[in-house]
This record gives sequence, structure tokens and C-alpha cells, in this order.
Amino acid sequence: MRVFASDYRDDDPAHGPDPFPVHVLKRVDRPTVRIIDDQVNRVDERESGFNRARRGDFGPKLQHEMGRFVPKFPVSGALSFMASALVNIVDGKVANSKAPLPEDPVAMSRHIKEFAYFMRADLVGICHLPPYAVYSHSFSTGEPIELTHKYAIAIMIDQDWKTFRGSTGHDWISGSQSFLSYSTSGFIACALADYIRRLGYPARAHHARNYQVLVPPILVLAGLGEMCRIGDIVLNPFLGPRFKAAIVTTDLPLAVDKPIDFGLQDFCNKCKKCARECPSGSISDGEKVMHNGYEKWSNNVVKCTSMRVGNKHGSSCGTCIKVCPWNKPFTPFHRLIMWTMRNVPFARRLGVWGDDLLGYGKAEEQYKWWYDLEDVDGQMQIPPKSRDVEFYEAQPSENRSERSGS
Amino acid sequence: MINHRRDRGKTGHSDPYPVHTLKRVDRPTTLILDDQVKRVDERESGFMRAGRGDFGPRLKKEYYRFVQKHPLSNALVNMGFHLRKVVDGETASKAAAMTDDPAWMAGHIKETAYFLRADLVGICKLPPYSVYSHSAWRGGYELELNHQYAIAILADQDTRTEMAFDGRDWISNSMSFMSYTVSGFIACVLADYIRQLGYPARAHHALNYYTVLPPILLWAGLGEMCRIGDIVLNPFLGPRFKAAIVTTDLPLAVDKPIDFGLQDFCSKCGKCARECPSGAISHGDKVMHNGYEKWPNDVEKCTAMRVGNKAGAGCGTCIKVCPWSKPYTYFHRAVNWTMRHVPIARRFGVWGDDLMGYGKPDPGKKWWLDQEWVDGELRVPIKKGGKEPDYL
Repeated sequence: MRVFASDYRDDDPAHGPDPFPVHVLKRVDRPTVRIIDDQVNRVDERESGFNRARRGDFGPKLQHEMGRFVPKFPVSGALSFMASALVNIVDGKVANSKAPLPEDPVAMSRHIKEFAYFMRADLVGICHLPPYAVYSHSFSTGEPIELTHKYAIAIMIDQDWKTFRGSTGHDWISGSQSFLSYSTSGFIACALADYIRRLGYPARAHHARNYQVLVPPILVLAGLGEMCRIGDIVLNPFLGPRFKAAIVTTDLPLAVDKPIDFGLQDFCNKCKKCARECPSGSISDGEKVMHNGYEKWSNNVVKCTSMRVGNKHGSSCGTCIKVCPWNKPFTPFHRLIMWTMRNVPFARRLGVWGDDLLGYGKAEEQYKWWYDLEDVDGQMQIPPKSRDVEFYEAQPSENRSERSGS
Repeated sequence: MINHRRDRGKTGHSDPYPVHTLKRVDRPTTLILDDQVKRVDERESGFMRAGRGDFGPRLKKEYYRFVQKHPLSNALVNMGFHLRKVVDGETASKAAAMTDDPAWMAGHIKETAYFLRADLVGICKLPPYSVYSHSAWRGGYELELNHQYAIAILADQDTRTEMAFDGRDWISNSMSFMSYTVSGFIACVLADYIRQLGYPARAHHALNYYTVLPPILLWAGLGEMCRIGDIVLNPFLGPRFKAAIVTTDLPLAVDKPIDFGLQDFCSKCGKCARECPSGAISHGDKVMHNGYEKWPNDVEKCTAMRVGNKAGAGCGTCIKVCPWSKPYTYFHRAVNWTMRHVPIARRFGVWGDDLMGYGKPDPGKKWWLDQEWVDGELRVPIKKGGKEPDYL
């Protein structure tokens, strides 16, 4: 037992190569969120909140902001510059002949995970690629997407605990934390897909700048988390919602992981801290609803997108990640609490109370390391200091679709 | 991830390792006669000479496949090639209105690199002699680089893999190229960030260098020169890392060189020289070479072993067997502290390391596949590392 370890990778080989103790998690056959497989329709990438903002569905102000809300702060600007450099290297030529590989898919899965951890991934999981996780149409080309790969490998990257300590969740660093994880996980996914193609099997990387798949159902089926109150987000038992993921889809035969149950549906039912703290009021404090074949907590995509794209006193927003009681460092104290929350249903009633009591969810100024800057007309300026929440609200426009609450 | 160790905002130390406990000195512990050091021509490096045919036709042929012959290092070097084009770019026309405190700025740049998941970062003034005189690429053009500062970014080559391999089997090159591309990725993002602040900045990584790394690492306080030869050894990572550099004119406070007793340690230990499969590492004393007083190494033998290795891809046996190459556990931190502070203990360093059985491969941790690209397909190679080195 390694109570003080921050990394499990070097431990007992019987446990697998994961840097967190995923072997202690309860595995289940079906995700804890009810998914009626034959009722889930494939999603059109063009209808995502950001792409609707880009199209002008939420009014001209948010359409304009959509083009600058990431590069207006230079750290996220540099990270999205790197993500853009990864756009065209997601796929390539497959080797003509198949490499001599172990026939056991369990050994291959372990090998693939080890490679991703070698590349410094924080967590990796594997599942069968559900057909409904493939986008119906691409945003960039407008073309229908066909992707018949059998397996999906999900690669998760932490958004950095220390930075979240110093942040309010909706100040200038928020978009950078997303893009740190997007571009770093994308980098690993591109190298991993290239490696698999060299072994003679088709493989494609999917990252924030070039997706053909929707990430949440893959994460849930690969046992990397459960759906949570925040809405369309998957929550991991060790990282909380503090991560982004990239995917590799492939036909390389692999053994798959099973979904996990760590009591989150019960926890989120009782906690509701994200709904209380959400600056735009996008998160529901009510019950789950059926949506596109999933029984999940609803969230208001229009409000959430407006806050992230139109944030006047910061770049993007990750307040729900910041305040979530599962967003904690992997220290012995927090591991004890996490164990309790996973295993003792009664303790979950006290979760949010204890989290508030210990003062979690507040910005700690001494941890703030970034410098607030805003690109205004090509010139970096110091934005006025403000902790107020202000954002450009979505305006009705003629071609705005009437769907909401999705 | 190691990055969790960075959580020490209150003490003001942002580094994931306790670098604030290291003894700082004004000059590197290796004698450098600044006015006698000549700029190095990148075309004269061991690898480039092998590629040119200086070491014979067989090594020339091997040079063009020794990284590509294993699919993992091939995928990693391919990422490195993609990073080649993103080292530099347009600088914002006007400098951002920021602090004029270079110490604050240096702390900020380090925090940014740690946020980007660097393992260690150090800053120094760019010594003019660390700029290559000529590039090895595109016909060998002359290089000019007038940036004032150099930021060095270290990426660990991975403890778990280092424990598993024997130093010269099929994963060795992949460990190098993992750290090259990871540190290069961070350097390219950091350089782009600095250019957006309105200061010129260029990233330097394994597939696109203008600078020689070791003198920068020395001046930035990231290690001391060691017996291995041209390699810098870090007190927490040992020699188990690769680095990328960002050079810039952004005003920064610089770090000072460190002294953790390594010159004394290396003069007593000699384990790398004993274990080097090609005999490239010296058992003897330091010599003067291009203005540095350092342990010599036989570049031709070392290159021949790495490029011409028939039983593996590349070689990092010196990294594998070095007593400083250890995981960052409480036990090893205690030993590490003792070696840094108690000179008499250094006599027992190599003896204790041998006694505990370090330096041997741990097959339980082996995760990679032994494969070799031969005649257009991947095959399982017959030879996999081993005690008797076999190279061209």
C-alpha cells in the first residue's frame, strides 16, 4: 500500500500501469446513467454550442467574441496555436503489413495504456466505439462522417490543481486550462495513432481541433467516470471534472474496460454545489430528464456558451470544475475523503457541507501565477480588475434554432 | 503526475523538486575558460558525422534507420518533425504593458512552463559560445542568434521505463525522443506566448536547434557536468532527462549554477565507465577540451554503439546505471540528500548502489514490444539488449 504515493505507476505490476488506483473501483456492466442505445441519435457537430455561436445563432456580439475568446489571452492563445499545429496529423498511411503482435488483446490493451502513460497521460481507458458517439456531420466541412473503427482509447489530461486553487473559475486563466489539456492530450493521441498505424492497423486521433467523435459516451463506457450534475460532462473519481480528453479510434484488437460506479449519481443528487455557484445559472438543481436517449441532468447550452464565449472579465469559464467537491489534489487526506464518498452513502449527505466548511471553492490569491492580459485590437492590455460576473447574453436572431435545455 | 508536488504557493517555491535547498555558486563547478570556448559546428556532432560517412558506410546506412527502425521511436520522432516548423513566428508589434521586475517575470515564466507540465526549468543568460556556428540542416548555413536569455525545460525520460530496460534494448531511443518531443512541445508553446507579449523568442528542440544544450543547463543551475562526458546531471533526475530551450529578449532574472558535490562523486564512482558497453566513457581524470575542464568521452565509440546497435535501438546504459537515476521516493531522497551533503558518504555510493542491485533490468516492468523494421515490415528481432553488446 502506498499511502503517500502520488503516482501508482511504479507499484505492483498486478494492478496495471495506471497512475491512480483504478483497480479499487467498482465495475458495472452498464453505465450508471441510463442510455437507451437504440434511441440515441448521432449528434451533428455543427449544432454544438460553440459552433452555433460561431454561426451567429446567439447574435452578432457572441459571433464576434467566438473568434477571440481563446486567443484574447496569450497563454490560451499559445496553446491553441499548438493545437492548430496538430489539426492535420490525426491520420495517415497504415503500414502495408501487420506487425507480429501478442495475440492476447489484454496484453495489447496494457501495452497501449503503458505507451500513453509513458507519454505522460494522466488516465487512459478503452471501450468499444459506440456508433452513436460518432458525429453525424463535420463542422469544418459540413460533410457526413463515416467512422467504422471498433475501439476507442480515451486519454485524459489534468487541468492542473494548483492553477485551479488560484482561480475563481471564470477569470483569465480558465480557457488556458482547457487548452493545456486539449493540446497535451491531442499531442499524445496523435503520437499513439501514428504508432498504431505503424503496427499495421488503422487509427485516427480525435482532439479539440479535429473531432469525429463525441467524447462523453466514450469516457463513460471506458470506465473513466460517470455523468454528473454539470450536464454534458463526465466526472472522474480521482481528477473530478478537472480534465480534458482526446480519443484514438482504431481496429487494433483490444480488451475493453467496463463502466464504473462510485456512487456519483447519489452524490450529485445531494450536493448541487455546481448549480449553486454557476455564474450563468446554466446548471439544473432539479432531477434528471430524458434527452436523446440519455437520462441525465440537463444544462442550458445557450447560457453556458454565452458565459464562456462572452465573458467580459475573463477568458472562458470553468467555475463548475473549480467548485466541484471532487476537484481535489491526490493527497492522503483527500484520498481518505474520496474513499468515504465512494463507499459510504450516508457520508454523501455531508459532502457539500464539509466542502463549504473547509472553504473549498474560493480563489486563493497566493496561488495565482498568471498575468491578466487581454488582446484588444492587436495590443495586449491589462484588463480592469473585476470579480463581477458579466457576459454578453445571447440575443435572439432569425435563424436561431429553438432547441434549448440540450 | 509529478506536477502535484508543485502545490507550495505559500512558500514561494514553484518548482516540483526542492531546488531551493541546493547550494548556488557564481561559476559552474566545471572550469570553463569563457574566452577559449569556440562555437561548435552542428555538422561536427557524432550523429551528423555518422550520417556523413565519417565512421564508415555501414554506420552511414544505419544512421538513416536507427531511430525509425522501432515503431515507437519512429512515431515520436515524427511528432518532433511536426514541431520543427513551429519554433518561431511573428512577434507582437508592441510589448505588453507588464511588470518591469525581471525576478517576477522569471517566476512567471517558470510557473507557465510548470503549468505546461515541464519537470524542471532554469534560466540563464545565453552564453555566446552555446550558439552553434553552423546548422547541420539545409546545407549548413551560418547561424546568428542574439537573444539575451535562455530558458531550459527538462522532461524526465520516465522512471518506470528506466527501471525496466537494460540500457541498450529496443526502448532506448523512444525514451530519448519522448523527452525530446515533450520538452519541445512545451518550448514551442512557451516561445509563442512570449512573442505574444511582444518580445522575440525562439524554441530549440532536438529536431531544430540553434544552441548547444550543456552550457545552458550548467549556467541555469540545472546540473553539473558528469563523468559521462558531454552530459549534465541533475540532482533530482540524474542524467535521466532531455531538454529543450527557449531563447528570448524578454528581461528575466537568471538562476545561478549549482554545486551538489558531483565532481567529487563522479571522481569516486565510475559506474558508468565500468558499465558502458562501448567503452566510450573515461575511467581517468578530467582533461581540457575546447575551454572546458571535463571528463573526456569517445564520441566515435559512443555514436557507433547508439547508431549501430544490433540488439536494440540506441543506447542509454550510462543513464540506466547511474546511481543518481532513481525514482523520487522518500528512501531515495534521503540517500540523495546524504550524497549531496556528506562527502565521506560518496565513497560508498557505488558500493551501496551495487549492493542494492540497482542498474539491472526489472522484467516485471517491461511494457514495450521488441520490434525491428526490416525490408518494409516489422519483425521480432532475435537479439534484445543483453550483457554482451553487439554493434557495428
